Amino acid sequence: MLGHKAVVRLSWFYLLTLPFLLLGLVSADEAQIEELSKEVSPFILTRAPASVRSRSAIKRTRRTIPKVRNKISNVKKKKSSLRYIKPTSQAKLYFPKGTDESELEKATILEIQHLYKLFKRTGKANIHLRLASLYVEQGRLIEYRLYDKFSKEMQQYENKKRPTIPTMNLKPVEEYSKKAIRLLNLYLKRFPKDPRADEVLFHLGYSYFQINQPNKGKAQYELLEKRFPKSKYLEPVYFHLGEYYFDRYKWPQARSYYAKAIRFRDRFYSFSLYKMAWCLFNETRISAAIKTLEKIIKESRRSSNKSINNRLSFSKEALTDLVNFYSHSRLKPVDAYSYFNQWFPGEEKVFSAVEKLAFAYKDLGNPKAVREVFHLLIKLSPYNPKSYEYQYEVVDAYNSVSRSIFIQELSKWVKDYGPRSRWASRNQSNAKLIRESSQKINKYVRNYAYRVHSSYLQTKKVSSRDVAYKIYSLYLKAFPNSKSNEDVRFQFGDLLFDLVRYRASVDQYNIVINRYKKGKHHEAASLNRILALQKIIPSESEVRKMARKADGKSIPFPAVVKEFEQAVTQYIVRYGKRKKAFDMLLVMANIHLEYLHLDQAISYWQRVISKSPSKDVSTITDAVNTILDIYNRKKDYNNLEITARKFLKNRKIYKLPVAKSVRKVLGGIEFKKAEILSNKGEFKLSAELYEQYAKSNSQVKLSITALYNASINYEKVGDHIKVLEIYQSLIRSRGIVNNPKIRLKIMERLPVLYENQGQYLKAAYAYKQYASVYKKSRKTPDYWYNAGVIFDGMNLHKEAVKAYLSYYRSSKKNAKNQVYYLIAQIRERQGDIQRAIGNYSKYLNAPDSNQLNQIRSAHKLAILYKKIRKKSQALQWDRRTIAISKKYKKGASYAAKAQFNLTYQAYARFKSIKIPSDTSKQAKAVQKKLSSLVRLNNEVKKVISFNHIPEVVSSLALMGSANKHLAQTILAAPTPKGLEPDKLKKYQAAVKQNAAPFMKSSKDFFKQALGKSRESKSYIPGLKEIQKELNAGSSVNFKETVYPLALESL
Amino acid sequence: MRARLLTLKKLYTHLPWRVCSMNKQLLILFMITTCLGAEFAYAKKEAVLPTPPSDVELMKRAYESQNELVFKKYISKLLMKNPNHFEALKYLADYHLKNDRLGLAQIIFNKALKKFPKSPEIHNNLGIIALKRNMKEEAVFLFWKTLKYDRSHLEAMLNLSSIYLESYNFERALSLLKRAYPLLEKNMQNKELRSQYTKVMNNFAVALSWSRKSKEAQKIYNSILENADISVNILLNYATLLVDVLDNRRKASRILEKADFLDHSDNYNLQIKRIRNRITNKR
Repeated sequence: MLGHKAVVRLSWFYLLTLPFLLLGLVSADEAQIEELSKEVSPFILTRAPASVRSRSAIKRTRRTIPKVRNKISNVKKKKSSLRYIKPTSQAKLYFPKGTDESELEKATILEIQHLYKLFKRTGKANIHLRLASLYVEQGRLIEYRLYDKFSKEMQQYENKKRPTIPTMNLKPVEEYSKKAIRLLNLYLKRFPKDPRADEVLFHLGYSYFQINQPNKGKAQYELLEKRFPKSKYLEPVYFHLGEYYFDRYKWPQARSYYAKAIRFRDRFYSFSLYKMAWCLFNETRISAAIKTLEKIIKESRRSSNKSINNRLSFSKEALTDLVNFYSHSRLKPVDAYSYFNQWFPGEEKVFSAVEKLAFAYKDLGNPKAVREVFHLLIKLSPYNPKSYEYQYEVVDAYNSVSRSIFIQELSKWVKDYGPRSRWASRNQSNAKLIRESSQKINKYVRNYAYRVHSSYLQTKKVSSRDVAYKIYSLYLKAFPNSKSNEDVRFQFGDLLFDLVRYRASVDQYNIVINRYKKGKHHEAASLNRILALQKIIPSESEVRKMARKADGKSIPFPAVVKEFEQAVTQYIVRYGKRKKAFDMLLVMANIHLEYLHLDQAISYWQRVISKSPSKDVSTITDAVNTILDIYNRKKDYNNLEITARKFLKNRKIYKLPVAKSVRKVLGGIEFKKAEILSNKGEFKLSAELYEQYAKSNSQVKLSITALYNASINYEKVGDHIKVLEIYQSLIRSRGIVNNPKIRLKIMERLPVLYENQGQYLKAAYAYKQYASVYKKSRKTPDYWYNAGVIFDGMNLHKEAVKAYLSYYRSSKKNAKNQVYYLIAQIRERQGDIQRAIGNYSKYLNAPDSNQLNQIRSAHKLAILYKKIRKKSQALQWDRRTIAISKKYKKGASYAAKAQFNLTYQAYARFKSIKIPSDTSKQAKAVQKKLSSLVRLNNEVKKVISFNHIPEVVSSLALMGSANKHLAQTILAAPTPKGLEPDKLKKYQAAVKQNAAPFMKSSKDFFKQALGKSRESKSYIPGLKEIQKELNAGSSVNFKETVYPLALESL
Repeated sequence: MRARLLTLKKLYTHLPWRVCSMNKQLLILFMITTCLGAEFAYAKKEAVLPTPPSDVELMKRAYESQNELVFKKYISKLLMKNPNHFEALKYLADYHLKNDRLGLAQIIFNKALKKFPKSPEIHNNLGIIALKRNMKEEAVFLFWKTLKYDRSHLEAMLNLSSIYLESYNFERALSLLKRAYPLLEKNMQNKELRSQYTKVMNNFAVALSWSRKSKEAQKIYNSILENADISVNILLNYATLLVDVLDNRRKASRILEKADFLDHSDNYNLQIKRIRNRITNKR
């Protein structure tokens, strides 16, 4: 009875704790998986650029391995644990089968009532004792009933037919026991020397045990043993005391009491033997325990031993426990069959015992023995329907022991008992078995694969990964078309991805996608397939290399990229609203761009814009910029313009900062168009477009360039008005300061334009402005010079001189000395002779290549000195003029003039010689004059040698004048005083005769001069004198006024 | 209109006249004739429209009317279209020449000369610049160059003749004036020439006179007195011829009276007095 209680308590404990344990395990699993999924690293693609436009926009979905139950539900666990092989319930010993307990209870109650009346009435000892024993009996019956009820309720609870855990209320039992104790104690007091005291003590002891006062009970039993050593109640007393110690795990004490009970070889013999075997077993004296059990079996077989109640034969329990004890013994598992063959009747029971042993080994955690025994069983009956379960047990036993053996056994299980195995074909008739076995294998292998895969994900152990790979492969080989394949293939695909076997991964995902179109993994598989394909498509750098070779032409997609695009398209079609779909659009857009499929790239980017949320500013900005950039690369400015305008109308875009750049681009399109037109040679249209752009984008920096370009094109078509307008507006504009190059060009070009237009004053000032701003420019000296020339021409002498001097300072050439000549001319025109002389002198002293100007300068200096009556200096410069002219063999006219001036000096000297009135001196004076005339003649010859007609004519005329002067001087010479009239006449006649040749030669010279003047068309200033001389005395007296004419011709 | 007419003509030629009824034929003919009439009227209207004056013309008009602003505007316009526009350059240089900006005028003429090296007008005007700078030798050279490119360049001939006459090279002057005279008669529509006509004729007469062709000179003077405004100098020249060469004292006296009437200034008084003295001396 006590053992039974212990069993009950133990089972209660398990019943109460097991659900919580199970619950804990499940929740732990869930938590683990949750943790796992968190730890799964996001699939950041290595080739991902930083921007949103990267291919990495797609992230892999979190992988979740299906939840794995710790125990396979449909595998019915054999009740092989210790708690199931505890000694049989004691109640059954008292109430064997067929006993109607309730009827008995009713009868007992009636009897108690009846006896109680009698006891009250009579108080007899017999009635007293009977009543007490009936109370004990009744308590036992109630206890049995309650236990029975409790057992059933517990069963219901275990079967989940009852929500709450049942409780057992033993109070009614205690009531009866207490009543019994009271009656028995009263009896002992009333009849202390009654011979039936041993019975009273036995019941008393028992009742104390019932009300859970075992020590009092034990004391009563010990008192009984002491007082009545030969009592018939000693056997149950020993047994109960054995039980008392058994329950308290005091195996030796318990064994000693069981041994005492055995000695009686009565009712408790087999039971005591059985319990003693357990005591030995618990004392780890396994072989002794086995021998005790063997004894029980042997005793039971001895049919001659009739003293032992068959009802209480423990052979069945002993056989059961023998298997258990065998499992704990040192006996070889392989020998189990031959051993059990000795004890179990029939092959079937032996087989069953071996099977139980195998399970017992399993419970003990002895996988080697499990493997050996189950293999033995399989060997004994290879096509046994249970064989697949035996193999399963082997697999299960090695589940967490040795992975290599486990996989070996698992493979064996799958191969030997799978749906295509020989075992399955043999058991084909048992469809249920085949189905169940197949399901079991399927489920187990799958779950195991998941578990290992999950473990791999958690620990990242390579071994786990490899095992998972093997198991998945095994599974898919055995169950290629299983319903649960979707899950497995999806997980396998994931694993292959981790194994960097992307192609194989894609293949698995393809199956999941194509076969399970409405499956739970369809979306994730679609996504992961894209990710796997993304890993095997050519990298960005590879594509870039290809693009370089393609030289700007689009590159056709390789097969794998096509596959990738198809996968993306499929995903977008089905899961278009997912965020990942948007990311894929980004990736595809980028890929098309890389392969230079510009049109497709544009369409993808446009889809990106339409799908992107308004808040995703960076993506929209990227998309907008990329689309515009593509059009720009294609030089498709029409579409660029259309697109840019559309963007500005788009609600998502027009408020963003990128709209500003779109507007800029829009402006830039006009600019580009203008540029293209310019390249095509349509300068006018181009110029108009540039101008239009500049007007509409006046705030943009490029507007300055546009206007400048417009001016260039206008200039090309000859529209200088526009050019000038633009230049003027540009020069006035503020932005020109920021465009120094354009400013330089404009300032360089503007004076030329003014000059070309005839706006010389503006041109001069523009030249001056440029030269004063760009002092170090190459053109600066020339511009100063030009400004000087124009100012000079405009009679702005001061400005001209300044400009010329600036030119002198800025120029590094020798020709810069020319400015002195130019300034001298200005000063001369101004009438500032001194300064003119100074500048001409400077010019002549400075090196210059213009030889003619040097001659002219010398000549000018002679003239200017003459003007200021510095005759000697004038003559000096005349001489120098001649010298320079001779040196350079140039400027004969100037030399001739200079020579004439010198000759004229000779003439003046000749004229200055006067004939004195003193006759004695007259001849000498005449002689002197004649010699002077000869010198003059020589000088004239020099003039003539230059062969410059005007000077030749003038010289001849000068000679005529000299001769005439001599003749007149001779004729006018004073006559000697005191001459008689005849002599005077003769004298005068002689004088006339002397003068006549000079007069004649004078006329000849004049005629010669006139003749010479007729040879030339030149202007001859000396002709006037000649004509007057030759026409003297005629009617022509040259008194008329001649009008000088200066008729311009237009 | 033309297109429509062409289609009607085609219609006319390709019409199945035999098949058409008389009324239809008449209708088609009516349509054709109306269209032809309209076409004719349109063409006539086109011909009647006046052509707008060109920029060159407008520039010349502005120059003549001395509208400086408009003149400069058109000059710029013409030169912007063509920086070597001959007319524009010529007029611009002349404008500066007239404003005594000889240097600038010379620059512009030289610029034009680069593009048009055989232009007589430019050479003549450059000769005038030289003349204004008292560089007569160079002026003569330039005028002769003008005549080289245009033998009948009247202004050059006259300019040259005046220089020659001033330098008493009346033979050359006379030959040039003889060549110029018929041309001068023809070019009387030239405003400037018309204004200078009397001076030219005076010079011609003086040249004839100095060449002892007194009768011809007298004819010239008479023609001047008949046709043009008379200046005191011309009258004095004629009087001189009449007194000193032709000995026609009476006419000379009349001419002197006329001169004295026209200008009574001291400048001329002295000259008139001298000629009168010569008349009285001769008597």
